[in-house]
Amino acid sequence: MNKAKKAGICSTLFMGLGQITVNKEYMKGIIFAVIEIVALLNFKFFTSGIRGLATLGRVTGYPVEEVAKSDHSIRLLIVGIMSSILLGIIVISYIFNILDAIHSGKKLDRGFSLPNFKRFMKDFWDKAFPYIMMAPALILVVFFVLMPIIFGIALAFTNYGFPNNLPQKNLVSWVGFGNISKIVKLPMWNNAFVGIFSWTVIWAVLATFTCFSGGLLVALLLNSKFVKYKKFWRTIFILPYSVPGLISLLVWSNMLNGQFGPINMTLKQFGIIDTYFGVLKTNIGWLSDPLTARITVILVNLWLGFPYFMALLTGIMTSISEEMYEAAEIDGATNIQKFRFITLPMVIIATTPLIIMSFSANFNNFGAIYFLTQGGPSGTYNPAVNAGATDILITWIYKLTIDKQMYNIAALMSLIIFIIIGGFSFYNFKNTKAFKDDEF
Amino acid sequence: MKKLTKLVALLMVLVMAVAMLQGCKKDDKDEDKDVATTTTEAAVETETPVETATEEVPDTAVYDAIEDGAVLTVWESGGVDGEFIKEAATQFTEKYGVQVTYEEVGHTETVGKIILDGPAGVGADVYAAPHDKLGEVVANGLALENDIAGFAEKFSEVGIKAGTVDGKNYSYPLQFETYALFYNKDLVATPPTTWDEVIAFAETYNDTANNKFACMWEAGNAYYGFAFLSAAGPLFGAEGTDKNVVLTDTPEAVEAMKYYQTLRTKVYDVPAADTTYDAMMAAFTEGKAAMTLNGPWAIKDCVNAGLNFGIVPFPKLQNGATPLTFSGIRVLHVSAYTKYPNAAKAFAYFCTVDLAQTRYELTGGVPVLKDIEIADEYQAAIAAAGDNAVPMPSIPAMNAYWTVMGGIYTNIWNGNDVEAEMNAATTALKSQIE
Repeated sequence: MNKAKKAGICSTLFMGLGQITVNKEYMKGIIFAVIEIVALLNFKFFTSGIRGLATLGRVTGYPVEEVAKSDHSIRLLIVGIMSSILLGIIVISYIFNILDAIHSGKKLDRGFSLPNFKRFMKDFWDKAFPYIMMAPALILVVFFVLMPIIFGIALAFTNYGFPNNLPQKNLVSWVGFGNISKIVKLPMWNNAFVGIFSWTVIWAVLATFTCFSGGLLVALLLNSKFVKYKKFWRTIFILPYSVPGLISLLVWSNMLNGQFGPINMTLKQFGIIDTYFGVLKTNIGWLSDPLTARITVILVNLWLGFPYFMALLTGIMTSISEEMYEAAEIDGATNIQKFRFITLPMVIIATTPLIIMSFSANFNNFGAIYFLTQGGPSGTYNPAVNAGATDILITWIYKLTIDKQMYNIAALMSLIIFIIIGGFSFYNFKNTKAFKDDEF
Repeated sequence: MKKLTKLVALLMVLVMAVAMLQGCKKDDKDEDKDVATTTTEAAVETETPVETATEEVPDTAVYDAIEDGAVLTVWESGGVDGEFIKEAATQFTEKYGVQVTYEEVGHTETVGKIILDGPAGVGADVYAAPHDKLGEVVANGLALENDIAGFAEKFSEVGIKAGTVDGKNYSYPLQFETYALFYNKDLVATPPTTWDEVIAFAETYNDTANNKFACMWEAGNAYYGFAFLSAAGPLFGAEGTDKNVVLTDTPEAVEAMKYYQTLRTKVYDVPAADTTYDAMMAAFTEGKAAMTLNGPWAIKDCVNAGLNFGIVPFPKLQNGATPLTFSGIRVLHVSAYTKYPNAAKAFAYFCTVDLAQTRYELTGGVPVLKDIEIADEYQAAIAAAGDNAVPMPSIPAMNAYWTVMGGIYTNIWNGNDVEAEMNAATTALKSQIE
């Protein structure tokens, strides 16, 4: 039997065995063996972790006095995920150990001599330097980014929620696709989900579009040579952006109160709202009428969001070469043509990644909705789902978790958002010119 | 040169790794220091300990059982409520030698926090909470039973009932609140006792164009809304524990809600989304609104505004039916995760029984313990309004009530068909409660 085969089989039996007995690479073999020994010593950690992950606990915390001794399903879930990740790392090093034994064996079979350990380490160090340097960051990513994501996804397939499945008194269990079928099959949830989802998309598109075009319009005006005191106007227009959004939104929600808010009161004083003689017979239900409330949140968001695009686009426009406009003028282009064929393409190319990011941000723009309307007014969806006309997915998730403790449904919604936003952003970034030129 | 760069990089990574590990290490020393400083702080703050209940020797059995070397942590809101806990902690340490640390955690947030901190072993031993979180507390197994003999007899019935689930008391009641009718004495000569009288008053008083309304309240809020629905009876049965009694499926409930809907046009013609608390308080303190539905938390603001106002019980409903108002009880719970259950129980007992008078003088919260004299006119009025109050049910089904009925009251107020709304409410409630 050749050495490659022998070493491979030995290393399969016990990590490092092939290296030590067949290939005579003692240091390497010992390192592999130590990994396996440590893993075997902590065997119970892995078995109980995996078992916990599979069962999510068996001892209930009832009566209350026994709570401290019982299983906490959610902690078992987290520990289970953690031990699976560690187990995965060990399995990878196990496979690497076998491949390494075979590789060295082959070398010996062909009559080459193996580098000694010092030499090997030096080669390894040179070759793997970037990976070694990245290891701490990688560990951080695995435990602080990957693990919470896996945890969140896992929750979507459990029944973790009010009132019967809250740890530590009760156990949580896996329900497979139960939550998904609940969303799809129960008309109450189905209606709400479709309604809120489509409104979220409409909201994200309109919010991004209005902010961008509002910003573009103001930037064009500021750029025009007919406008005097440009700095003054720019300062005025940037103000909404410099006040914390939360404060502005709470102020807006008071100003837009249909009966007591200053906006409707002013309209009333001017006689625009008047029961008998006004253009409008009744108060404008800025926040109380479902459709009006949806328009209101978009308008207020425009107020909050246009200064950002204004500042951005003003900057980009100054970088467009004056010569192009001069050449266009010589060719007899009108102002509209100059805008259509020079300014617009230039700014769009430069800002597409930012527009996409703004879309993603608006998709999850919790503050703009929640602090203005709390998702209300109600009446659009079944009262049991706890959602109002202006609720977008993220505010709905917030209500489901904080008010109702329905963590499983909320996790499922987050998963859906994650898939949509993740997929959309990935696709667009890949197809964006500004990113294509980059190595990324 | 290349080697040096690598070395520097390696060094940086090592420093980062060490810093990471440091972050994970639990810092025991700091925690000890915390306890010491808080207790000394508390000791400095109270120079003259208030003498209370010295003649009447309390049940020493509660205090005899305190574990040696017990250390307690207490969660309570800031402000006067926190001041009281600091005061109680000082006295408790003085009398029984148990160190008590006070940490500021809003009393509506303690339950959410103990769910995570309790199992992790860093939670409080005693924490304050509104009683209606009790369903959550018991469902999650977060509190130990209050098994102190003769405890219940010392308190008014509403206080004990609020802390009890399935005949077991889990709570130590601190104070009581319910809502009532606040009226401006300059605008209303004799306070109304029925809603019909409110409607009659509104006919002469209301001026919608100038935002003058006879009575203002949060029309879409299920907390106040229940009082109107209560013509159909108490929610979840007489004991507040029968999840099948959702009320909304009875003809009386439809009747009651139809009456509620008429109040929109006759008393307060504003869409529910615009009937905010801020608008209401502004109008009431300005003297534009003659009456509001509000609770003891608003007394201070009204007094500070220099308002000449009074408080009377919630007016009677149509056909003279007596309304039931939701009452809330602030309670202490002993955490199920405490290491010193006896000391924690003793401290909760100390706060609610021995120091009840001190608490009332310090916080002004309407007490639940019997035989405490209430000097303040407004607090006495709230206590009197408590005669027709029912503790907000604390069974898990209550969660469904809050979710569903907020929308239903809003829709009815906004003019939707009452019968259709009540049918929708019944289906939604039943599907949530199961």
